[in-house]
Amino acid sequence: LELLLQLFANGIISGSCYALVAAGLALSYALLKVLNFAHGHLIMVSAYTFYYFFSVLNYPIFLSIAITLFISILLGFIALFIFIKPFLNLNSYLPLVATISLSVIVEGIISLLFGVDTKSIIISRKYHNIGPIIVSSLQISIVIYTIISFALLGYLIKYTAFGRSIKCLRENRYSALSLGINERLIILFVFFISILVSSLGGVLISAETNLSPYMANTYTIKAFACMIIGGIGNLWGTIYAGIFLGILENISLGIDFKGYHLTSAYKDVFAYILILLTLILTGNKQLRKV
Amino acid sequence: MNYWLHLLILVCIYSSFAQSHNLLFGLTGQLNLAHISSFALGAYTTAILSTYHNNSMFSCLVASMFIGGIFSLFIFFISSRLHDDRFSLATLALSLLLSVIFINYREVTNGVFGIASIPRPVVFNIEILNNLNFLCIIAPFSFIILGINYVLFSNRFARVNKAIAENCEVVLGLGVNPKQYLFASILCSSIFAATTGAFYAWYVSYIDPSSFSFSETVLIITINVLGGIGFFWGNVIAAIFLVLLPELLTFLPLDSSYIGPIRQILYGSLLFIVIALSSRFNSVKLRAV
Repeated sequence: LELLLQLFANGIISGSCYALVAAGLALSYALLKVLNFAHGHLIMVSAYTFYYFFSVLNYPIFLSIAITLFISILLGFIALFIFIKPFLNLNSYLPLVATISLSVIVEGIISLLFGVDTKSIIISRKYHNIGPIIVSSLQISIVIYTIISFALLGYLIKYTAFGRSIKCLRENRYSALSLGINERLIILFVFFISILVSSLGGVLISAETNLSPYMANTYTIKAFACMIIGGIGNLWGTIYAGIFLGILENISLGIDFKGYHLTSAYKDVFAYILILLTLILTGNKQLRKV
Repeated sequence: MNYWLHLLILVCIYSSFAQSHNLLFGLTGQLNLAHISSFALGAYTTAILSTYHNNSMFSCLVASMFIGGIFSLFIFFISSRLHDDRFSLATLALSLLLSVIFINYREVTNGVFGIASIPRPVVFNIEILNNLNFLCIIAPFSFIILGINYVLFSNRFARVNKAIAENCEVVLGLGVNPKQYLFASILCSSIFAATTGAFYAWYVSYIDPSSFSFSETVLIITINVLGGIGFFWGNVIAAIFLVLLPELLTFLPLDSSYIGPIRQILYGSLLFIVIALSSRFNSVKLRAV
């Protein structure tokens, strides 16, 4: 049982990572209706920038976080204006192919600059014992950051005029436009928030796990999985789905089926199976609830 | 000389592979990201049958085609439920699922170590040893595949599939069953991909899960987009161009570890430039919402 509890805690930690990544994706998908294939790559760029400034150049931690945020927001806007915006109202595979090309370019540039071998960020970490569970201070900060950012997001969406106009745009674009809601500004701001949330999450994830140019696709797929399970465009569903996915992946390691253990190599399978099952069962229905 | 033969063989493999993707992507507009899995299944079937069981060339090819056909049933099931970006996402999940199986089902696929020293096939008691002999085998097959594709692209089949992409209700109203046509194009594209995969396994003689990664999918999407989506001759020329283009990089004075990433950046930026230009010149339809 202690093993299961530990795995459950690990599941919550990795689940909150997935939820952070997926929340940004879900926010931008709800408005743009574009599967941003390069989302994981934007996160990877922020992780590598943080690695460069913090571990290579030895800048202080808050300065390097600030530089990372600046660079990733800049890159996010480049992605939005060059790779996503021009294809918005065109045939559906075009924005997908454009973001795929962005992801390939980013992956190439990163592996050109930093090499293909895995890197890790060394941060001094203390280990705490909470009952039978051992967690590091970094992992606690991940969970705390997740809770804070989701509380802020929830406040923003539920209680401000800005959040209501997002909802309005999502429900009915034309009536929102006729009510005088500035669509461009809202899209800009939503993209800004999604990049902010995800890139800070990316920094924390990169400190927790290792860095490699090939990590981005995994995060993109996991984020897609969370978004689809949680209902497309549904922010809260996405967050719950992320935590559910993290717990499922970790708990599956601890359960034995008549003496047969699932190895960690099969961990990623859950995300793929859940994507397939949810998509096939829901069919082509539009799940655009708020 | 041998180098040019090597390039010609690669052109044969990639042109028929990209053309088989074009059959589905170009005609119906559905981006099938699991196409590389058909290729991988064909390659693995051939590798296992010819390395461990000493089967002849003919039976390997038939088995690869059969497996490719069975795999197309899954894709058809997905496509009958989903369209557009949901279809792409579901097929992506399917292909990743298969790649996890390739890595972890060690008893059959030998895991990440892959299957090494796949023997070249024996045709009419002649052993295929050098590149010239291999080219003599692969060229007829890729001509057959390209020929079937050409026939499919220039008759009723292509017109009905394009009509399905534009407006399914009209096709139904004209008394044509769209599912038959969709199934036929998925089946053909999957079988062709599996056949090319078999030749790939024979030619490279070493396959592992990383040879069927996402970057291969990006390569064939680039070929399709560069050659014009749903345009036969353009795709053949684009396949030749894109196979030869990265070979120019080897002449540059670069460290060999840089060539892979530079090739990736090259493909990505080419893909983006072509997509941006084609959307600017309005050759693509507006999305019907």
